Amino acid sequence: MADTASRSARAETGMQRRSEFIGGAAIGAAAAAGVVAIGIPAFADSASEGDVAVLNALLLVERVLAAYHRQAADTAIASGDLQTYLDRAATHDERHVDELVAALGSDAEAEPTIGFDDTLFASPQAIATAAGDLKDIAIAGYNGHAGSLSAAGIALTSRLVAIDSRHAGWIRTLAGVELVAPQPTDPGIDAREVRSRLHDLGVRIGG
Amino acid sequence: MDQTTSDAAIVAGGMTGTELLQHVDRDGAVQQTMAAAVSRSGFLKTALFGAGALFAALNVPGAIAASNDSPNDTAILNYLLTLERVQAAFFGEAERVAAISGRELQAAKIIGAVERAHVAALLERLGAKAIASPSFDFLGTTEDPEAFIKTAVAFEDLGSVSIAGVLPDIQAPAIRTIVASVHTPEARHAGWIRTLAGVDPAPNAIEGVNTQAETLKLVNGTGFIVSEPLTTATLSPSFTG
Repeated sequence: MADTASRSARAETGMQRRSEFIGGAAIGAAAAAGVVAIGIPAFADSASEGDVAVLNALLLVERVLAAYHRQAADTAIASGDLQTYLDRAATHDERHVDELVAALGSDAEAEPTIGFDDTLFASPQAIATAAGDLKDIAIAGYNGHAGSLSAAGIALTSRLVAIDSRHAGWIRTLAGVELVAPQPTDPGIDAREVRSRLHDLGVRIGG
Repeated sequence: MDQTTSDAAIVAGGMTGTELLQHVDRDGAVQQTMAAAVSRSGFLKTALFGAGALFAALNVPGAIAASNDSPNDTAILNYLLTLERVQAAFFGEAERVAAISGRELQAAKIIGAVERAHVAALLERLGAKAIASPSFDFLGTTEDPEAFIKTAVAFEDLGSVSIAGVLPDIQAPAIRTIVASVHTPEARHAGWIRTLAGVDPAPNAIEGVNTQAETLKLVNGTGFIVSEPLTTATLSPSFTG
């Protein structure tokens, strides 16, 4: 009897504490404190020489993501949850571009022309599939550079790739994929492989 | 467990990483139950990828490289081990209790397998430096679908913001590569489980970050970590070691 009462009391305390846990973990304590709302401080114009090439490679990837999601969102092919996803992904990817450009400062490369094969917009399912594939390439691209970035560099990129990863889980669930995220790791690839995979998917990058 | 001055590099809330982990196991009754849990669940047979495959994919010879890990990186890996253990235990228990069904149960199975692979990989990497595992009592949250999905969202969010918080502190490029490759699946899971829960999967353009102190305070505050196995659950199994 005493054990039952003790367990009940502990469970009640646990319920109260879990409320804090569920609320506090959702966006991170720093986000709750307002850091996220004002962006990532103290990184602009401080990219190390070694980070410049990496951040420019990632900038290209985010520009591709932003261009695709914005174009897909504007096609009027999608609707409902897919349209919500496309609008949000485009907005987030554009923010990522802004953050990387700010970090690179005058070292930011000019935006190339970016185009896509028409098949990537052929249907809602085609859009959802391409959106997921693009996120996968971006995640692999980020992870391919995790070991070579400075601490300041990884502090920035880890917060961007996490959102791209959330998008990947989101769009794959919307697409009805059975195994949304079954891999324990996302192995990295280098910038050349990123470009190769983008090309194979139907992304055309000009000068 | 090493407790060197290098731990000062990850001081948070006035405590070193090692001290924080000891704080989680506050009753000093941490048990060496992970090995038994491994044996019970046979997770190496059910995980989609085992630790060996994980490290092979990363081209990191775990046992050899681990001997050179700095105290700082070892402390961070032990911190992540604690986080992964509680996640693995939660999803594993939810799968075994089977109070959930459909897409939620499938997600629990897959996420649980992935978290167990993370635990196994970290254990392999840490070797004898791995801290002991506590026991867990999820206070019925694995037995109720609504409580499960809310807690699952919190755990996967926590995984992503916590790993993002420590990545810049990792010194060895090889370790940073490993942890980064584990980070993104956690964030994928967050987007996945939030979609299933009907919660905005990505409310912010930039991921939040948690310090070790913030995360351990949250985990410790749940009451999920216990000094010894209890039997509060009404369904079997009642606790997860």
